[in-house]
Amino acid sequence: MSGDPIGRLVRELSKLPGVGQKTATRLAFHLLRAPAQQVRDLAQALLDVKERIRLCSRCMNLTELDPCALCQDARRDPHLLCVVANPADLLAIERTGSFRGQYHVLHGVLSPLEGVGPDDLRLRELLQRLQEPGAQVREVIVATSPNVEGEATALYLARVLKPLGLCVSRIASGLPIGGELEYADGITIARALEVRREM
Amino acid sequence: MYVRSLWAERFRNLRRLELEPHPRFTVLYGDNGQGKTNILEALYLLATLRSFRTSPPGAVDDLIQMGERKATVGAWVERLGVERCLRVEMSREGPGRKQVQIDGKTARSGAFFGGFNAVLFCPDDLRLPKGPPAQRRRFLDRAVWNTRPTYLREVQAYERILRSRNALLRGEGRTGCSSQMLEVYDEQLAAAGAVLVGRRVAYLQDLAGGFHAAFARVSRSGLSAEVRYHASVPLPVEQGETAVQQIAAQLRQRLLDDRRRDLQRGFTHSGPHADDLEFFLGGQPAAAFASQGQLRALVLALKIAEICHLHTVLGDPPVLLLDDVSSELDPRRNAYLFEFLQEISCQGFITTTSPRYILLDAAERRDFQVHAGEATLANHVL
Repeated sequence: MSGDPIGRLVRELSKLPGVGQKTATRLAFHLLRAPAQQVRDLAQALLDVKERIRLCSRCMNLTELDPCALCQDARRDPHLLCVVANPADLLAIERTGSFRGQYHVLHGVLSPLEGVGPDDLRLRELLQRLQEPGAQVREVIVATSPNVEGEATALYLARVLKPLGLCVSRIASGLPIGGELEYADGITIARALEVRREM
Repeated sequence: MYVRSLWAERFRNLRRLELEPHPRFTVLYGDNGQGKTNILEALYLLATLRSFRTSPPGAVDDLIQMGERKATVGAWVERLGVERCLRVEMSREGPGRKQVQIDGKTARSGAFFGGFNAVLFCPDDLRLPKGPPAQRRRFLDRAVWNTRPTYLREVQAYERILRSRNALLRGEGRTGCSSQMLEVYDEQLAAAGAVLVGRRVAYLQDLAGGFHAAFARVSRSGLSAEVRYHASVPLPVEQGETAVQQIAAQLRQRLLDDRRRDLQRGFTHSGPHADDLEFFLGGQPAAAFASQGQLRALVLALKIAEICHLHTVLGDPPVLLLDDVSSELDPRRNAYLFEFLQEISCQGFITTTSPRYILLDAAERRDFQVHAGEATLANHVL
């Protein structure tokens, strides 16, 4: 172990995303000045996420309980399943409160350039879940990002899931609500025009 | 549109350049290696955020003076009565190696494009009909992009899908290469590729009339001049949205037909990245049949058509950057080039080793002698 605890803490903190040497040093000195209990709570919280959080065996979301609270919630519509790339995407949708179905987290998107294939995603679990006896899902909503990798993942899912007799849909993309048309970028406007709907 | 002033700092050999161009023509003369083309490159960079000389075009290291960490280029550009200050800063380090500003405010590249359009004409262009296909595709893509800035993102999306598909074909990483995965990338590639093909073909159709007319004037001959797009798949006669869907269906089929070959060789054989342009003169393939002089006249006519078309699309004449073109043209075609330049309302920047090639009246030009990275106003009598 290093004999320089402050230096060690700075080095550990600067490994975090978005934290450079300067911020790490500031955080380290902040912790040094903070009440011992606060620091102990932080350390315990860090250990807890590592020791107590695991993947839900149904939806693959991060959870402390298995199955997770979302999967156990009997009020959620068992016929609708929303597939997302990451837990952060699930949180973003859940924050809106407008989706009442269930989720499945893939933990990534297909990317041959980065060596990520179907076997590297939580796809097998998705297929098992959809094919198990008593499965109630009728529609799978693919909510991956509208970029090259997200679209490829959506197309792949459609190919794999449609033969199971499921309805596969894709979230729409277009202009942000409350935004101003004149500030939107050209591709987004073009896409919004392409998927226009009759009034 | 026109450039009211231009400056550059630590950019290539331009230690500190300040230039007030003529509203019509700015002639940059001097010996080779003094920095004339660097000035055109600075202007081109302000219009496209790319260089026409570095490889890849987006690289910045070569643009910064040796021993320096940063370089800046900037200009006041007037377009349709509105004057804007454009500025690009390049640095060797850091994540944002190219920072762009409009009127002192940091801008994303998407917002930067479209305020300043430049058309470059350089000696390399004269080899277009007989040069490598990649050069012709680059010409076409740049020309289309000038008329619609969002084309860049369409090209970038296509290239990313193409790289993904090629990685898949080579079975890189642990992904393996299932036919289901290939079908996904075939579908994506065909859809993105059809958009590019559709835009390129539509552009060439828009250009056809102007090209033919310009060639008739440059060559003073009755021969018909034509440029045809060679696609990997048969193209529909009609244009528009359904045409793009038809092209996508054709491309998808083609990718399927090619699959064995693509898997064997580890790359994608068909698609807009492999398409080409061909010049025809009097119905004959120009690369094989036309004389050197005729080939140059074809390119000159093509550039003229490009400039006129862009002027129509933008509603404002683009800025022309002519890099030492006169020395490559015979006296008659050079005379025609200047006749054309005087007729149109564009601002032009012209580099030359000798001002005598430049057939423009004194009232319409401002000459600068470029020597060791410095431009000084010339006081020679023309």
